[in-house]
Amino acid sequence: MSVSATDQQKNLRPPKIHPLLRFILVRIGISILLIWGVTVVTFLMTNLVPTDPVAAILGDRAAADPEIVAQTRERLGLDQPLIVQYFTYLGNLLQGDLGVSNQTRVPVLESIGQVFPASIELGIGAILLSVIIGLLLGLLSALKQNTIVDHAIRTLSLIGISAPTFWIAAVGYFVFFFKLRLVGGAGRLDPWMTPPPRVTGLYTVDSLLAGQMATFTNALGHLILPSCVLALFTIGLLTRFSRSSVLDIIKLDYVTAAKAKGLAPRTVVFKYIFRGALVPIITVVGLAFGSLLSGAVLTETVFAWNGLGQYAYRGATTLDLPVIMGVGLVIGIVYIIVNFVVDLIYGFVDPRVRVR
Amino acid sequence: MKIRLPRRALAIGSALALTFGLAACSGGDSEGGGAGDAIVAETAFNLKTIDPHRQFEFTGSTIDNAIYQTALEFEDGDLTKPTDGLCSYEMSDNDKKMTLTLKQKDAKFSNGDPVTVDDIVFSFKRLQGIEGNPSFFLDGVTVKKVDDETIELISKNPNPALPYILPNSSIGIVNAKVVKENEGTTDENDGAEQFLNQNSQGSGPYKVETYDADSKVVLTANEHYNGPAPKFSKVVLRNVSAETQVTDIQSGQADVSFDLSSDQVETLDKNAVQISSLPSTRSIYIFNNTDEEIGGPTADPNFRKAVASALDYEKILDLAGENGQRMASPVPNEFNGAVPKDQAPDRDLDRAKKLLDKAGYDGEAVPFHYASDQAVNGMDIAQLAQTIQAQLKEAGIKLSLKPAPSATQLDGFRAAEQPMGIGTWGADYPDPSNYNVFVPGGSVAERVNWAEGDNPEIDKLAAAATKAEGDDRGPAYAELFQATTETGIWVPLVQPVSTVVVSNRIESYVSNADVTFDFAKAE
Amino acid sequence: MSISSPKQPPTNADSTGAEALDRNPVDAGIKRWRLRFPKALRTPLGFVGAAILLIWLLVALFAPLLAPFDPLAQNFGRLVAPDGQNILGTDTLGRDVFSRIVVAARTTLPAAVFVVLCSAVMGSVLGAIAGYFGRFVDEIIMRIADLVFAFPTIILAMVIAAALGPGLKNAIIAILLVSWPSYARVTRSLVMTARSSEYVIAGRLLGFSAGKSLLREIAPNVVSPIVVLATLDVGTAILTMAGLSFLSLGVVPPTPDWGAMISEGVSQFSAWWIAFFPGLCILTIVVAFNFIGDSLRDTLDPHTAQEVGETTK
Repeated sequence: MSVSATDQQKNLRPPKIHPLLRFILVRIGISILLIWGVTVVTFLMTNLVPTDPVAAILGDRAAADPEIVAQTRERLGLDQPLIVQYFTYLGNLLQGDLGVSNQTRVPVLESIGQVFPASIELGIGAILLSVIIGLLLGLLSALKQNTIVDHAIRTLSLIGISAPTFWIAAVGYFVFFFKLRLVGGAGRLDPWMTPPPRVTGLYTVDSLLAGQMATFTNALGHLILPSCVLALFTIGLLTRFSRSSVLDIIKLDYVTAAKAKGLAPRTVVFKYIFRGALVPIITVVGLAFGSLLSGAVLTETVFAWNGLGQYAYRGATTLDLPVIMGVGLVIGIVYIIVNFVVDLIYGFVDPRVRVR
Repeated sequence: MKIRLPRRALAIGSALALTFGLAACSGGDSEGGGAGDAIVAETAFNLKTIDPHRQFEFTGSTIDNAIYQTALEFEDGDLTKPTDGLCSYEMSDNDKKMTLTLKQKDAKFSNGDPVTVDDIVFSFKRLQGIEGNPSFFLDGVTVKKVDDETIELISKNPNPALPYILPNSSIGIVNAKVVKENEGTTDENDGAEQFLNQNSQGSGPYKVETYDADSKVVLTANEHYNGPAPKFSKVVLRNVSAETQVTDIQSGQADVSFDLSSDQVETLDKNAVQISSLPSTRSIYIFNNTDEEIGGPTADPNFRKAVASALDYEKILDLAGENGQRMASPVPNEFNGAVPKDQAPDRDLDRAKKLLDKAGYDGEAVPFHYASDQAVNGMDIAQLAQTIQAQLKEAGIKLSLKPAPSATQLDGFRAAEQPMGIGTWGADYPDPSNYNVFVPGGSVAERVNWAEGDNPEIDKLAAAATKAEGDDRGPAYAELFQATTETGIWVPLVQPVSTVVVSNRIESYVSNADVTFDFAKAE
Repeated sequence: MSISSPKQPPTNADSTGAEALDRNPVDAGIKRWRLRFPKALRTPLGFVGAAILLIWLLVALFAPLLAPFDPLAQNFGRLVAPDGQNILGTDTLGRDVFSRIVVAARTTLPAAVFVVLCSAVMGSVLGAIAGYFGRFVDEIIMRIADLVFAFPTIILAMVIAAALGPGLKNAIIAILLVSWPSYARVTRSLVMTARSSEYVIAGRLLGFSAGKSLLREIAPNVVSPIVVLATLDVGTAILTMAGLSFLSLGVVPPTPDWGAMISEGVSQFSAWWIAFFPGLCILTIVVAFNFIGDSLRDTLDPHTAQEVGETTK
């Protein structure tokens, strides 16, 4: 909040502040506002859920005793007006307290700390795959514009974004694990493997850090199929986007000039065309990351991948309100931060954005 | 509350303990081969806590069975024979006083402390005082330490069920000293739950190594255990959906699967796995609300009896799999007080239609509630509901299905707002008095607005059953539950099968009515 | 999210004299509508998409005639593999999979189209209001849109469905609540461009009311991009609905539904036909909408196409 206040003050004296700095401050202000909005939405949403958290917390026996129920209501502050409850909630949030799960009594922050790296690992795996495959396919498609290769790639990328993730996940699991045994099964590691000592929470990275090659191979074997499934959608997305970006660049003067200078085609492609196309692509990667978190719910369900998505699903079906609020908040914040970074990249690269 | 989510599945073995020896081929050894001294078991978690005095779900009780010893046990898993555990017992003639004598004096907790009478008294009192879900087990019982070897349990009313109650893993004996040091009390202010989740305080064969309620619980051998050391020094219990369990057990990634449906078991390669199936102690039934405001037609006995006549029980049995059984009352067939299953009604569509005419049922759709995400012993409740809907339609009864996640569905049921639906009940202890909840005034009967005084005949039978002693109890309860079932308020559907699939890597194991799978005895 | 190339295939870009039309946005908007839409479907992708969609429409329309058996009747053996009688096998309750698949098209298609229509209308109206009035109104509406964007669709829909209870109606409400912002964004930016154009300013000077200028002068420019966006979005809506059903938060049984069938089939790997064919159905129908939408988008001018592409979530 303080940021946006200074931000407004600065606005009154525009000449003194560098436009780029001003742009950054405005974006920070908006992001904070949005995060606050997310807290309001999660809070309201969970209060609309027609269920009594007290019954879930106490269990049946204690819930039958009005005295204990009243005590619990008081202890949890549920007897307070909604607005007071909200500010208590907000106050706790600012101290990093996301509440305690009604079901398992484990602090939500702790559980999210456990499951978040799992989703991040899956997300990074998927993003890496999509960036590499998507960019190459997009580039190829653009360079061979209107040839059979181009049409094939475009058609495939459209099909890629049309497939229901959970179905592809199930079919993939059946074929590549159940029938062919090419990849690891459900979960992040074979059951008898011990997770590597936690540094980042990403099993692949941690096992490398600890020098446990067997664990690394195993974790990678488990990671590869869910990542591919999850990446299918973003590969389609990135292929299409990088194709159009490259096509935009090809027409520009400096590329024509480079070609005219007689530079080797490979140099032109990678040094000029690809570089120029990279900037808009970065922003799409950012956006895609948000969509991956969404896709992860269904993929994680099929692969028993104990990540944020599964945690959210369990929370939603057991009406575990603190869990739902916590996950909503975390994902909202991740999305907003990603967007903030994307905006910044845009701002740095494209001066017109700042002026607007 | 007593209709609950997947609850402890004590499997009743009519043939008592089944011990499977010597798997024929050793080729089942897992391809990873690295499993070594760990046994990997998989189940879809419904894990809230492993504090024994609070846990009340299947996952928690499976774990606590391996961690905690109990005052009494069931002899070789025979649920009709309570026998000595940590203590031996004696019941007074009027069934009001039970005397427990500490017998296993060499029993030690996982930190090496010996198990004393004080620990047992503290555990009983903590169970009673903290108002957790299983607190009702010792309702109306006063716990008294007599001397360093003897405890007296005095019940207000005759309590012949007590010996059948004490073996429950919810009444596990904890190390009083350590629990007290960690905020453990015997009243509502108890704060030891989190501590007990991470640091078990039992004297059983295992202790907790890591506890993660969302994904995995790891147990290691308790070096101070006074029994034979378990062959597998580590137990890994993973939270895995039934679908994944199928592939994991077949590929050797897991050694034990708890949740497979009969269809899934069908598909397994019988040479690669061992299958133990025992009648479960769960009952699945249809409930009908007796309040006309809420239930509409279901308040009419003729309508309810028409439902019972319209069901195609053979098809329902088919869904339960090979050893599923009919039920003539909510009480499992192997229990004392069960109505013999051959008295269960058969399908009679003509009778159903006549009864519907009598009831004046005009074909209005009745909301039919069930938990969409629940499976009882691998029996999918959502599919069962669809089958029931199709069967009743043939008699002209129209159901409109109202699925909801278990949590929401339970809320509505508790509030006694659901006209009709599927209920499930898992035995808390193998005694017919546990089924008093289905009798007017009982906690499940309240959910369908069935109060004492609505059926004076049944009230009389209930009073008689409670009073009955010794060999008279069985027939008295059977008469009570027969009359209760005849009202059609409960339409018992099926007693499912509890199936455990074990990989061939395990050469011998014990799976019986008391413990679905005994990790300590697997080899 | 579907982002496509703003580039046009050469046939469209050159032959219709787009440049001349683009000088006058009003003419362009109206004529584009008339001239190009049928043509768009003449591209190979558009044609294939339209053909698949047509087949599915016929299937949905004539489902009762096509389905050999009652989709609810549990008359057959359970888990029968595809054979002469049950060409796609039977499910866990002994129902004919083919009949169920065919009949499921009748719920999925109309529901998806309906939810997209609603969110297109809701989103465009809000976006138009934001873009036309600007300032405070704009800030509020667009910040709410940002907020909705900040939540993953399926998680938001999941919570809504869990709170309101499963069912087609609640699934539609959930999807509606999460899908309007993309329309709001596109409409807003198009309206903002149009608002400052000379002819609209001229209209205001002539005394047109805000509503009139929005409807008569600005709307025609917005319609075709919104139609494109909506076409692409039908696919997304089908996927989201299937996802909710997969998590048993969608269509209430016994009504046949593809997502629910996949969920049932996933627990029966050996009876692969239960999940495999409904998945193919979803895939083909979503592909059809994406092919058509993609071809339509290529007929828009590059700037608008980019707008449509970038804001689709």
